[in-house]
Amino acid sequence: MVTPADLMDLQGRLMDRYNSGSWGSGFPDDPSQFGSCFNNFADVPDPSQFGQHTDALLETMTLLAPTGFDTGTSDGSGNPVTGNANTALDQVSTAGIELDDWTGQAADGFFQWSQSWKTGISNQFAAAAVLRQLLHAEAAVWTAALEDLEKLGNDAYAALEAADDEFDTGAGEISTTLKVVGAVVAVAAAVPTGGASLSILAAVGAGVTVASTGMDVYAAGQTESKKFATCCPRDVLADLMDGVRRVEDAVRDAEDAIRAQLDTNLAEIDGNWDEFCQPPPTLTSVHRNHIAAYSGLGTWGGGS
Amino acid sequence: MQRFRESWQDVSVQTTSPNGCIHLTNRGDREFRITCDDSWFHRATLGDFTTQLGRLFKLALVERTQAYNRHKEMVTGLQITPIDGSRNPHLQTFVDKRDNLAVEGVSADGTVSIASVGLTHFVITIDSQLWARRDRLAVQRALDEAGTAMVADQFRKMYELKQAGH
Repeated sequence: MVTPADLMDLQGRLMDRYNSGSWGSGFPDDPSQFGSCFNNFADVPDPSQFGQHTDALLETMTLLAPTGFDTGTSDGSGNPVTGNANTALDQVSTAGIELDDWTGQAADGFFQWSQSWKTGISNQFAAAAVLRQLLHAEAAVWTAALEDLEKLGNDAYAALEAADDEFDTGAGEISTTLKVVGAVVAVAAAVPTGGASLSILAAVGAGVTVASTGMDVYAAGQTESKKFATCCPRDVLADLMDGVRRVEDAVRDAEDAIRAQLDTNLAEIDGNWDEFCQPPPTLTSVHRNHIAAYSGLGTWGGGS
Repeated sequence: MQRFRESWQDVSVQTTSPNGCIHLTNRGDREFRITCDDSWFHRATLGDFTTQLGRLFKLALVERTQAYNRHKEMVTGLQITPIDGSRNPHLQTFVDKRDNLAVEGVSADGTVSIASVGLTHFVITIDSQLWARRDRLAVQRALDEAGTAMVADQFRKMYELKQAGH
């Protein structure tokens, strides 16, 4: 997996190759760009670091899962990431029924709360699934972007080699394909409410097949071609910087799409807050003074 | 890239003239070897011979370029496509100058010369006395020398063109 540090190393090698070349003329206006072409990507996320966050969200989903589920993503070995239902959740739903002898306002409130509680948990599951998928999309974007940039750098290096080769006639251009342009992935629609949590998995799974741990697989179909002239360093640098700009634009578009989806989902959650976090059962808001033991409880002093 | 450069010197590209009687073998960047069918050589007129040579060289250039690009792809993993001058004015200038580049090679004894413009049109001149001797091996040797010199001239001028920044 390509890291930002790899790109810094690559631009250093590009600068060295330019400096060691035997160029007659055809110099770029600013040759130092060979050594700084990837500077805008020095501090971008390392895709491998997304794994710990998506793993944590998977753990959260497992705790909130009303039934078994398939995340629609795969692990580093390509195996589907699935989870089992948390059966402990069912016990909450049935707890109110089991308290047969408990009556009164608090008991009624608790019973009603326990019946709707699982729906809220399901909605939280859906929210976690959406967030996890958005992180996958983010990782996919950066994985594709960094791979594309590395490819651009390597192709620019090869183009410089050809331009500096007295037996290469410069008659062929180096062509490559950029994957990141297809990285505006179809990430989650708005989270559904009303306990339809599992339906979200099919929706958020569309378009993203990044492995949850390795995140080294990206299967967007759309690509864009990029060519490198091999006849002089000026044209090589122009092609390199054009490619870098296209990657920057594609990442920006993808980030906009992800942010829009996040905003949509946050608005959905804000607008339906009670569907995600139900008000607590009445019992928890009863004033302490209103709760008392039976007057005779614990007063028996034994037989005389 | 170094591995490509070294391995390319071992790649042979063989081309045959349209009438099937003259064969050219290019190996790597330097070797240029002509062989000719002996019976046809003795029947051919000088005009027929040079016409077939000119067509052979055009075919050879195409096949050599294709072989060069495919070999480069195979060894380096790069994808090589024909240069597209329309992408920017610099490239178009390069393409225009390349297509009008005049190169020439002459045999050591001066009896054969091969001249070309843009490696698309070839003019082959064979000394009438050499041709009159009908010595196939002598003609082949002179063509080899002239062709090798022409290839060297082409490399030198293309490198100058690249160095000039077109």
